[in-house]
Amino acid sequence: MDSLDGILYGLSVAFTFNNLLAALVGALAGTLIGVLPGLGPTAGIAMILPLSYSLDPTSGLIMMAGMFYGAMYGGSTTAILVNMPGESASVITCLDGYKLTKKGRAGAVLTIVAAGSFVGGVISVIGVMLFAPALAEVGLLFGPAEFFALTAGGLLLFSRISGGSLAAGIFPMAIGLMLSTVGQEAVTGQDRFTFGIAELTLGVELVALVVGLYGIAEIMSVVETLQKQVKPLPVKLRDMFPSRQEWRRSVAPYGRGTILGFIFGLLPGPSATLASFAAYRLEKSVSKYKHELGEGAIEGVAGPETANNAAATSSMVPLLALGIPFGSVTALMLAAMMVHGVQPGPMMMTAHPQVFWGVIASMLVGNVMLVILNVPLVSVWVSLLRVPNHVFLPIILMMASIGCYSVRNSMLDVGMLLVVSLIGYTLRKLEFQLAPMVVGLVLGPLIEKHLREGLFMSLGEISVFYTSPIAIVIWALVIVVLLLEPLRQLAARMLGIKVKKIIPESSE
Amino acid sequence: MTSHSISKRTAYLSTGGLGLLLSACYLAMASQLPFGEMDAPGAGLFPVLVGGILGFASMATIWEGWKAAHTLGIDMPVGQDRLRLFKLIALLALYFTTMPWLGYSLSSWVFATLLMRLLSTLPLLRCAAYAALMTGVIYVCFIYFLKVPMPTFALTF
Repeated sequence: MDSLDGILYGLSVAFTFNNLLAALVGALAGTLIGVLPGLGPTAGIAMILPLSYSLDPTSGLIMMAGMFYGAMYGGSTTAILVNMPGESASVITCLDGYKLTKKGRAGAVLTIVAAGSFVGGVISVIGVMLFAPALAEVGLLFGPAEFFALTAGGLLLFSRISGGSLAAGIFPMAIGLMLSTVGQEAVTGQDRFTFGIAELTLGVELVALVVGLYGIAEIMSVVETLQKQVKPLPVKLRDMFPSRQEWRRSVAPYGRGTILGFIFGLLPGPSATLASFAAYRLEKSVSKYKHELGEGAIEGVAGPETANNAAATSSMVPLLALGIPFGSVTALMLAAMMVHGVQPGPMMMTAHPQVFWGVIASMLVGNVMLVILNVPLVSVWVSLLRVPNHVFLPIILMMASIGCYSVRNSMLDVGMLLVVSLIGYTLRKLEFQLAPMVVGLVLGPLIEKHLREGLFMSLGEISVFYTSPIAIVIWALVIVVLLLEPLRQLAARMLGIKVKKIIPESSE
Repeated sequence: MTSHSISKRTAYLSTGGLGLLLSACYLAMASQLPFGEMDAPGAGLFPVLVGGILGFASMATIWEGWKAAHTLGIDMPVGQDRLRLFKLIALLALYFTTMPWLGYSLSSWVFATLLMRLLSTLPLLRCAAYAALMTGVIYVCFIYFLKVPMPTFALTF
């Protein structure tokens, strides 16, 4: 099936009633999650993960994907209106978005953002459509050594690129890997680190970890700073129309943001966040109005918001084509696929074409839904920001406990929520990154599988992991990227050359 | 550094120290697992590698703490903010502990009432009424319609 046949088949899957409903629910829930503080896309998706188990795999994944890019849309609303990003990818939007709001252009900016997110999302879907099958073909050449390089190297890169210092990335990653070894081992059935607790033989529950780290830990921060909340001004429908000049100035940032976002989505790391920061930097370098950036320029909103949506969409490529999640949200999607018995990777396109093409095609449908939901209904989303904390926080916490318990009817998982949220809150205070822990937990078993398969197939020859040409290229890329930052520091110290920081301070 | 913060140096050194301790315990337990042969690796191989990575990561944390300037601090909540946070943690602990005994709905109602009281200036009775409404909606959506099997108290409620 070529790409065109594939997408036509995917559209026939996406246009069934169940899948349209799943896309709509996902898009709605995602926008809601993005708008509300205290719940990002990762925690939100983790909470609905158990519900997706009761749907068929295609509908479940369509709903989760809808939530992901829906949250990208919704996150920008709070960034623009109250200077408070709904999720990390919208942090940079605050700079110019809020200044434009203060100038009375809030409605117009929200429309520009919705249009940009649509453009970025749709063009990125076309890219996914063309690129994913090609990557899956390459993936067929991969054996255990190559997959080991991709998963282990990708995790290393991810933890380093996630932001902050070396320890801020690799310490949580190591904890995630450690947690992944808890439970019954896949090959021999040996119990590891279960301490005789029967519920632990199934391993550490991903939903409990993610909801605790991202959901409840964030709620703790919201409760801590309760008195510093800002309420938004109302946005009327008649204020939603941008001027001709605003449209004109947004066209080039849309294009640049889409290309940049698509590329970032293919790489390991918090792609949407990094893409939005990179798009802002790019605008600052090349825009005709760069002198206005930071003071309320439309380019500072259009570029980053287009880029984060494009990246959210293209981050599906490594997941669908190679079966490797390069972010915490795609890690959750991988977990959902595993539960449904769908093995993502090079064979997915032939083994489960309805899932592969259905999910891709649903993104086109979902992006159209989001524009319809976001532009005319913006006043509804804004009014949600006025819902007091004492109403929505108990609701979120009650739903979190349902989401967590219902995965395997275990009170241990619910109890773990509290422990994990305290760890998450502390690690955030220490400016550690949480995403490497989640990705470590998900990739740990895959890394172990490929390591053991590689050793088994090569009769114990370790050189198998660094002699294959593909593995060499992957490791070389990993080493080059890992060495960039130390080399920058060395150059700065020895030669007095000032180079901009390659790794951001924080991406969460 | 103000009275609102703790030293970053101390925090990182403590975290790294705890990490080292954890990696030592983990490695000790991992070494009890069968290691297998190189051509047929056992269940212990990967945990030993992970223990090593955790040890390295902990040392990196200690190193960063050691190198951190004494003036660098990590902001911590104080006063009412800290009290509110501690109360939230206590409420969550109470909620999760009582859920198997009181059932999901009853424990959720108590939890929501107390949390609303903590986060607002509403009188207790109004908080209880709002909490009952919220719990009811969640019960109908998730337990009645979606059949999520949550712990129950009496009369399957």
